[in-house]
Amino acid sequence: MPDHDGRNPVRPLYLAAELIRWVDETDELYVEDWSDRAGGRSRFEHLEQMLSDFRCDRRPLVGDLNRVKPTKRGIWSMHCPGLRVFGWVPDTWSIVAVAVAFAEDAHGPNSVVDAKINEVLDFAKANGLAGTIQLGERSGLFQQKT
Amino acid sequence: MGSFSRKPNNRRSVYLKLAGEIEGQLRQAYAKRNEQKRETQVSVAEKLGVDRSAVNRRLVGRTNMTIETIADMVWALGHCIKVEIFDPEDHPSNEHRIVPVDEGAAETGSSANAAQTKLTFAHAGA
Repeated sequence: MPDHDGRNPVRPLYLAAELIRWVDETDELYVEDWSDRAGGRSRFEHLEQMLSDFRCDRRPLVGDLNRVKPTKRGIWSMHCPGLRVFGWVPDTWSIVAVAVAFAEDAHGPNSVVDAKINEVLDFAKANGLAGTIQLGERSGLFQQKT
Repeated sequence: MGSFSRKPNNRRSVYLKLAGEIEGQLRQAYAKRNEQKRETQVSVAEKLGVDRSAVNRRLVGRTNMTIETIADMVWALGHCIKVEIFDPEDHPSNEHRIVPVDEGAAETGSSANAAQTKLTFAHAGA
């Protein structure tokens, strides 16, 4: 949890070490005056707030949790301004977050989405966690009554 | 599991805490009204004369809300606000404290003029 956030987490969120390292080492995430600045936060601050809110909100808004096509692979993306976080759902209301991409890189002919899907699946397989990938829709895995 | 290594300075932390608490409490107020089947994002938007997407942006921190906007959201959700800016030395608690101590004060060990902001959104009642 961020130092400024005094809430107690109520649900699990798992971050791959690779994701943490990428976030720590990517200087662009910390620029406050970025091209699509929204809500007065840098991209990192939006990411950190999104992850904290997922852990702590009594009833998180799930509109920014999306299944990534092809949905049969069970990969999800969490959307915050400027970023996409890729991972999977091991159980209802929990997420394993493995990879991050800039939002602008998740569209068009040079989209990195397929590469991120593979990154998540490779991580799950390498760590013996492929069997925990839950398939299902948002309404089932993130029921609004917590 | 590790955590992100880059931390904001204290001044920035005060802003992030304030913004996060406001947005979080608005979401909580909205969730309560929504579970009571009294409000949806559409109904809140209609009360305020804005698009539903604007309400969503306010709830998820994708817009820098003015004080008036915050007040409008609280009103539309049938809640009230209580604001307290306080000296943490007067209110010791287990809650994490953001202390905007300047570098000089930190070296001498003092925390003069340190202040915090505490916000709660209360149910407006019947």
